[in-house]
Amino acid sequence: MTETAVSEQDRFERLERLREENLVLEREAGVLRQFLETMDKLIEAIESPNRESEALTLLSQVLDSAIRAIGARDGSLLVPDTDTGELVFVLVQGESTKASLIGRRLPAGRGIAGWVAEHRCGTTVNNVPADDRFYPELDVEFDYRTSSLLAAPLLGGNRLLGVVEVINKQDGKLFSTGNLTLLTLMCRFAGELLHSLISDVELTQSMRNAEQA
Amino acid sequence: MSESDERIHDEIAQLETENAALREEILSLRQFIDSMQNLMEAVEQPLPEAELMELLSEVLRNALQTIGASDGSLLVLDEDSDELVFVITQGESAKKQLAWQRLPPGEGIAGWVAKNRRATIVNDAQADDRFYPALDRELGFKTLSVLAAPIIGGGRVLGVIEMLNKKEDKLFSVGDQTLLTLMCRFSGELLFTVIQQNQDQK
Repeated sequence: MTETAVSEQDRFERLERLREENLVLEREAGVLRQFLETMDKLIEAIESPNRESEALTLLSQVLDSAIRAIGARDGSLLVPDTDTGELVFVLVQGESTKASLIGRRLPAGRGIAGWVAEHRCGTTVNNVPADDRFYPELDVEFDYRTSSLLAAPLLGGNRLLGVVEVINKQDGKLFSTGNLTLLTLMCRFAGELLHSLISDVELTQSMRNAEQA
Repeated sequence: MSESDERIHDEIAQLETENAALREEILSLRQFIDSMQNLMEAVEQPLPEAELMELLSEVLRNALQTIGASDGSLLVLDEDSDELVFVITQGESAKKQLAWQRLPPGEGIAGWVAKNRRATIVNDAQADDRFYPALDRELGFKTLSVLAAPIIGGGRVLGVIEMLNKKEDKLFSVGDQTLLTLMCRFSGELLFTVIQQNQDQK
């Protein structure tokens, strides 16, 4: 091979490497940008004048963005029933949305979501059927297959407001520690915003009541 | 150089620049995420009032680093007088004399931010109507560019964080504004929770 041919091949290889690197970097930057955008939208929603009616829309946005930013197929939001200790499915979103799941309950402390609620910390489970905490009844009933799962608590004002689950990473990939960090932060941010929304509404309400009394 | 050689050469140069910019962006976003995570972990344990200041100091330090500004200050709203009080100053030319100085209600860019509850970018501070030049004169400092965001928690403005003079004479970007807004809001809400807890215990 002549010298020019070698250097030409070198250049081609270099170009290929740069292209590959560019794809990887773009993908990572994309995930991070989407994460920022979600948090930014949350602030906008909470600052908007008719925010009282928007709590659920807010949560729905969080769930939707979490599913997209993390690259999962489905997701759900569960809210605790403080009387019974059960977790109730409030939102179900994604590719294989099962509307009938809404309103269903997980017995206290059951399932991975129950574990998250109890321990107030997130968890990554990349082989769900083999996990002791898994509650398989719902999969059977809804003819669904939970393979991998990421779950984080929605904490605000030191209270557990709910649990967000992101289910089945796309293309059969595994959830990473980075994914869990993003979900945990998103949930905490949303939880604290929600908490101040609730305290604000409660305060306004009690002031109104005081005025009327 | 043949035409195809030239094309390859150009694409290599373009990708190198693009990748370097992406790496820089990712680094700053990761720094942002790390600092939010640290903040979240810090409030896991009960925090005495004295440690709150250390926490805020950390927030300001992280903001300076992530955004790449040379100086920064944290102002707290005095709810009785509606003035903003300089509580922490950091950076290359941190002025100790600035601590505990007060901005009259609504004065300065920080005052505007507190009043309007939203962040702002001012890339030519001296030409901005909201700018409060008295402190620059007093301290022999030259404010060129400012990025400021409110610290909001529980629906109330608790203070303002200001970034002064972006490094290398660059301009503050909308991306910088988003990062600072989020950092301030997250700290504000976490702070609100901590304060509420401390009050409940009393």
